[in-house]
Amino acid sequence: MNDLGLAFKEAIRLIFTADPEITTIVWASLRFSLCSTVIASLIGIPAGVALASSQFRFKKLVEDILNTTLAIPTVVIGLFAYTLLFSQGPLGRFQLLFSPAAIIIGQTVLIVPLIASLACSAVSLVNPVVRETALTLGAGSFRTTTTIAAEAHAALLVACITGFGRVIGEVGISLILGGNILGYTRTITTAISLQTSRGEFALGLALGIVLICAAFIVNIMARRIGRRHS
Amino acid sequence: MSMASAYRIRSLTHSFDGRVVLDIPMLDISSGQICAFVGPNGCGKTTLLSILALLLQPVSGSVFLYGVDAVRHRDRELRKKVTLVHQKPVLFSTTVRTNIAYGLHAAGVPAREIRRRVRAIIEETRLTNVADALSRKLSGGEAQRVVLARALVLETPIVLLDEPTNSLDDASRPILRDLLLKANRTRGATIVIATHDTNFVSSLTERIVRLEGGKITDA
Repeated sequence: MNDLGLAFKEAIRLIFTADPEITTIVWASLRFSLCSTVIASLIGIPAGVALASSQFRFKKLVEDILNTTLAIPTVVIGLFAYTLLFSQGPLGRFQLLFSPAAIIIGQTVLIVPLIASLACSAVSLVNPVVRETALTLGAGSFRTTTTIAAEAHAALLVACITGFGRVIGEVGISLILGGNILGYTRTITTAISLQTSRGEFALGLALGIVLICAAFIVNIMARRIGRRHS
Repeated sequence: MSMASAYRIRSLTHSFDGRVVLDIPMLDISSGQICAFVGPNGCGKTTLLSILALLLQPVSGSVFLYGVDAVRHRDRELRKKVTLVHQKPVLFSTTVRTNIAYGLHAAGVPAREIRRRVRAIIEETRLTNVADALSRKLSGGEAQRVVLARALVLETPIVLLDEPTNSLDDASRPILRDLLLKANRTRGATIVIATHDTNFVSSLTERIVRLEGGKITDA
């Protein structure tokens, strides 16, 4: 068996024996990703729903800017956040750099535009008669907006799941803002990067398999939610 | 029955992409009246109803709703006087009971009163067996009856209905007729129906306004 075969066999063993290093890294990744997804959803969904429901002069421009931010590489967001959080930066006094909080902030910044954009699209696709019906039944603008959002709830949930899928697989922000500290800020992707650079493929492969499984589960969840509510 | 005007329409015009779709010099609908707009598809019935429901701003002219200029003051309080049942109505993705209670919650009606009124309208519209079903599980006729119940439970002074018999099965038509007559006779509701179903409206009212090409041909 060649080196890759051995590494793969070792990776499977590490997963099935619940290797402590792997479980620590996976748990950290899940925690950071869940936290950033929840925070980003709390910001991005109301923002996207409000954008879709409102009419103002520069709406198209705002939507274009939002869509442009989706294409910004994670390392650029990481670098930008680094300049804010490092000791001489505007937020340096909070000493957040190389901490889980820094990763969560960076990941939140990464997926707020994504979730907002998907939420905006989801609400825009709701039948316009829903809005008119709510209005003719006496609903005010807030109740009308929440009614429209409720009609798009499956798509909004899929937006959150997509956001989670994006952050669990990102590496630039976690590496730059987290510092890849074992047992503290090391995530699945930063660990894979480190192990690969060291030539130690087994742990990297094991984490890669876990990451692919996580992405697979996320995709299945999104598809099932979409199908159930379609 | 009071003969004050529910609607007073003067020099009303509306157009889409430069094409005039509505041109009504004068039309009055008395309070407590049942009035039907009848005409072929595309004659402007739905546009007129949307304007009367304060959902659409006309290009020119005036619409007075109980004496208030409804073109200038399309506020929530004025809108509470009118309910519109759309031609292609939608039910919210929840239960029949929650759908029917929607407008009552929006109006801030006390919970006990909401329960009482919802229960009563569910019985009247013969929806008892599907009261707790999800709206997407309903048949076309049941869904149409839920939409009517949701509108009528509000007991607004004016009820607008756009092609209300379109998705109704034969068994549901007498229910709709009875509900509309009851709302009109017991609480003096003004009912405006846009339809091409002349048989249905002729059993309800003699006030039939014929529209063609956006103009009234017979009032």
